[in-house]
Amino acid sequence: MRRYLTLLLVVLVVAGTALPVSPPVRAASPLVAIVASTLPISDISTSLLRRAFQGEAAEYAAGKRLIPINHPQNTPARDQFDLAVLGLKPDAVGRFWVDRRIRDQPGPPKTVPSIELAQRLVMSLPGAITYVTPDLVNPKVKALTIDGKSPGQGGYLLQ
Amino acid sequence: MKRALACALVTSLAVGHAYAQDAADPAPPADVPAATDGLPGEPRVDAPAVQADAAAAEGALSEAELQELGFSASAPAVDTSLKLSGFMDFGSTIGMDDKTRFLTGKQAFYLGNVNVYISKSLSESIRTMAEIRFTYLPNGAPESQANAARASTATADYSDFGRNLRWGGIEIERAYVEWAATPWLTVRAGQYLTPYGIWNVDHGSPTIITAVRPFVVGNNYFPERQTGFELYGRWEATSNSGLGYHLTLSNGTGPASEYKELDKNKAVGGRLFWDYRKFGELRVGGSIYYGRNTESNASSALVNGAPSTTERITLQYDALSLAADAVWRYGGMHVQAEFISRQVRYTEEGRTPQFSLATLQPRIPADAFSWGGYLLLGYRFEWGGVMPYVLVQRVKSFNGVDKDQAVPMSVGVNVRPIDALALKVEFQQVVFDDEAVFPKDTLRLCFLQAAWAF
Repeated sequence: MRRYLTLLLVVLVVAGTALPVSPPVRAASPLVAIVASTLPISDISTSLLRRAFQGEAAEYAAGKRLIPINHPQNTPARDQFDLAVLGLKPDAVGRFWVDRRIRDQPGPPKTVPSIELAQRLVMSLPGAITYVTPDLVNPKVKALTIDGKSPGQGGYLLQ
Repeated sequence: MKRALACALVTSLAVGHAYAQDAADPAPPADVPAATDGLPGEPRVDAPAVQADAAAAEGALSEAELQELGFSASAPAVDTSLKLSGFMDFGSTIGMDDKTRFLTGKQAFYLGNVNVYISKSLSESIRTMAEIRFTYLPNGAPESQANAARASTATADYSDFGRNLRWGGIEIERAYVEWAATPWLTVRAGQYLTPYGIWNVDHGSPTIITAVRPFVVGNNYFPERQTGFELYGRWEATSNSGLGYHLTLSNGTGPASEYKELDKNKAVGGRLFWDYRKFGELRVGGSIYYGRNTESNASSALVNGAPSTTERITLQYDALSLAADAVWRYGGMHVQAEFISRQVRYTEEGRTPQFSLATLQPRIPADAFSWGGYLLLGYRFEWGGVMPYVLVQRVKSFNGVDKDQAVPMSVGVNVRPIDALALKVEFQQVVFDDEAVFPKDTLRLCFLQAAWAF
């Protein structure tokens, strides 16, 4: 048995050094979490953001649920958000959601085809939350600080 | 061993070929956003009629446009549609030598699980779910440990000129309704998987890394499922860590614990866990279960002209189970371990002769302590979703009559060529202790499995 374990270890090491490794996912600029400007919140915790985008019930006020809106997979913003909030690289995202479904855990948020449509949904749907690049913030939506930190500050989650 | 390696090689080559073909497919045009969304089951909104360009981004959507997208400003935020999903697996167990083949039987292909999930959110906070396994059993199964005669479900099919039909069975794996009062309190009622450790919650073959369960999980030191109430919840301690709990009150175990209580004792249990997300995801937990298991026969008779029912206990013991578990995922690395123990104390009335596999005779059982654990190490490569793994186990099981003590070790490969499909090849060697039913024996097995979610 020891021989088999040694063999497996050698295979792991060789494969680990030989296989290509994806570059870390980086977007050109930080992302901001946005909600409608009328929503009575200005800050969100990492844990609440994670709960919302894991499909779990996430309330921004008593009895008021956040409605997470996702971007399509394999877009820069989505890849950056999944890595920062859910800790998932692009290749692991699909497996993550399949495994959660088997465990009977909540499923993924709804996905819209474009970042602009996500932004318009946030303007129109009370409780909707999404993430955009800072240049897409307009007077009808507001960017939330995360754990009290704004983009550009050290330790900001979606840097 | 050569055969096992050959199996692994062939599977790896086949998967690698399929992956290479996927990778060679031309990329979809960048202006077709829906085609980039590859998540199975992810609700996607396709909205050809709704302006999605940057020029329209300044404008809010009307209620009609929201409804076209599957939203509503006035309706509940949850999807209340009926959802069907599930998983299946197909595989084979190959004895690698004559001794192992004697125990495992002749090599056969088999459909292991055909499990269907049905779920629906009844409101924003109330949800129901059922999981049903379809099985060929009881057809072909030995009737008992002492009687190897095979059960037959062959019957004449009235819709086909009375030709033979073999009916199968269904197993209700879980069925419950739950009310999520707050993030730290959900109340569940019905039949549920016992919330202990990692394996029993992962549950489905596409999610489980190895091809077979560790012995200590399969030995059911904790009941796999219970019928009653479960409370659970979670509290976010910091932005990167949280504490969670489960509390259970159920009928416990027994021959018909899903709907019958043969003693007056309810079983209680619980679980506490802590998770931390700074360096990957680390979760550490502990679980407990205490309950009485009773098996009895009832007989009715007329006593002094009045009907009377007498219960005769055929087996009864109190069980205390304790478990600890930890899992750490960091990048592609996966480290997982569980330790599970069970202490069994027979009641005076319930200490009745039980069939012994070692002597093939009934024996009076002794109070017993069993324990076991495993350590699973794996690494998921980005290339083709390939994960080689090693599973090291130790089990010292004693049911009061027979000892089942062994050191099983496994090496294998789990491949997820697509998210919903897992292909597994595993070689396992089981070395029994000198006190086991098969003393100092060594079994060598190869497991092949394809498991998929839908």
